[in-house]
Amino acid sequence: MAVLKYILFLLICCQSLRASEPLPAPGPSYLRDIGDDLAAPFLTPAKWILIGGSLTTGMMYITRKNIVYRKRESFHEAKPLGNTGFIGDYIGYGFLNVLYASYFFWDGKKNHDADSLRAAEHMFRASSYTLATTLALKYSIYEKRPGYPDDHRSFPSGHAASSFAFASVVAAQQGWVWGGLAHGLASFIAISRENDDFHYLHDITAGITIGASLAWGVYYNLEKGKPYWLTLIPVKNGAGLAMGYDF
Amino acid sequence: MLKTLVLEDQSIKLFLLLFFSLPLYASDAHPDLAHPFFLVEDNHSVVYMKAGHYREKQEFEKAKVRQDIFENDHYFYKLGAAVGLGEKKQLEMNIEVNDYGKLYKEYSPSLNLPSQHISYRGFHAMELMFLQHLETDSDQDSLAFHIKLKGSPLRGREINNTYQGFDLALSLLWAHQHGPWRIHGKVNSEIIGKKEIIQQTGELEIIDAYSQFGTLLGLQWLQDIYWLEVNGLFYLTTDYNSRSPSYNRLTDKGFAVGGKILAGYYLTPKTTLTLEHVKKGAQFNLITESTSDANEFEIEVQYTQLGVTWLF
Repeated sequence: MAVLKYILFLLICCQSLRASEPLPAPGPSYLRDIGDDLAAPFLTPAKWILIGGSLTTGMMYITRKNIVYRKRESFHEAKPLGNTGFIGDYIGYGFLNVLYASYFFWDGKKNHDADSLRAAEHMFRASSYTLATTLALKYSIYEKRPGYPDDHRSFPSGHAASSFAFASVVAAQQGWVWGGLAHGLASFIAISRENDDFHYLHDITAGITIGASLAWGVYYNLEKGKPYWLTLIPVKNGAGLAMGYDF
Repeated sequence: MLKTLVLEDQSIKLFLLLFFSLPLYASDAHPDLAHPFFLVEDNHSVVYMKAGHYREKQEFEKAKVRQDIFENDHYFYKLGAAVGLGEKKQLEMNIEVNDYGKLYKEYSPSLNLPSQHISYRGFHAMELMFLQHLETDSDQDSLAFHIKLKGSPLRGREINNTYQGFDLALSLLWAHQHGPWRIHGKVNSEIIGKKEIIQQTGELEIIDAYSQFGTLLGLQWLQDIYWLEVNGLFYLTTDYNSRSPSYNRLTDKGFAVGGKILAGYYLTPKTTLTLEHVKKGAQFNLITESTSDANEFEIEVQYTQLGVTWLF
């Protein structure tokens, strides 16, 4: 329950940048925007990332056999990145996302640059939803880590999710030259998680899918408009979900 | 030695025949057959023929000590065709046969199995592929979705090296051209199907299905009538496990690294000649930090092939 409260708090906080940017047609409800963004991987062209990534994750999971949980780390030869995996571990905790959002927020405020504010908002929203989705899945699916079976937060990979959310936002906002470099960095972070036995391959592909589909979904919401909307509505003894479509 | 000389003689004859049966001229106005995922237009087709030499080496180590070693060495011929289905769709099929194949197997002394020399030839595998090009904002960009099914309906036997089981691959392909340079790549996810191989001794060896996910990145340098290409790939894989009545080998995870160099030449505006060399290695291990528990599979593959492609 504490986790759910934390997620709800994050989702509401992530709307705070909304007030400072000049995008047209703000929604009447923060919850409506949250609903729009969370639905974006299903209802915008980002759905192809979600479909392809989900298929890939299924393909990686279906052949997993003979799993014996060993409370050990891989022998050196089993590590494609050798002993450098710790770098991916450290920088994959969302520091890149925070740095990017902070810089463009500062730049946008200082220079009254709407594009910078939009980039900051894009990163903030995409990263927040990615964090919330990843945490919700980690605490509900409860899968053991391959090299650390006492830890049950293997699925999906939060490092892969946050780093690919970062790379997708950079590609969308800064173009594919910077985006290509960011994807290279994100790939290093994702590979480092299997390198150091924190994740199975399907955890990583699921993380990539979550981060990239949410980041591109938010991008389509920000840039292309949203023909649909989702919102939570209060009803007796709880809440309901309403959906609308503009035509 | 004699067989090798005979084969080389045959290969040279075959390609000299192909080479000189075509008018040797070049033109600026040719289709971009160098494109890594060239789209065949509706009512057109591409036919290709490739021949080359293939080598594969598998090693299994336990506690850092080599246990088994298997080596394949053969020549191969591949014949394929692709047809345009319209609406940016394409269907492709090819068939591969092996010749002058040799398999050498040496087992760990603890298994008490004799070393083996096996000769093989004949049908190896077939591939069926579907390509769907997607809309892009610029003519310099290409994007496509690719599905590949590889396998053989025949039973896998060491004595003829028939490919066993079916592999399924889904890929997203992309390319961007800037002047004479083209950067391209793919994101690939693949299931390597379960293999049930009848060994020469009559025992059944089973290799469980496993998956791999990764990316390929390539660079092309395009000139009027020739092009050069280099690419590299990196895949992460799931566990690779094989077993038979005589042994049982398990791993937890793996990775693969590889690369290719290619040179292509337009024999005519609609005919190309390519020469390529591919090398890749995969390594599978147990999750353990103790050398006494360490299991390791190493699979190294390299091949060189010459190919001719005709566009109709």
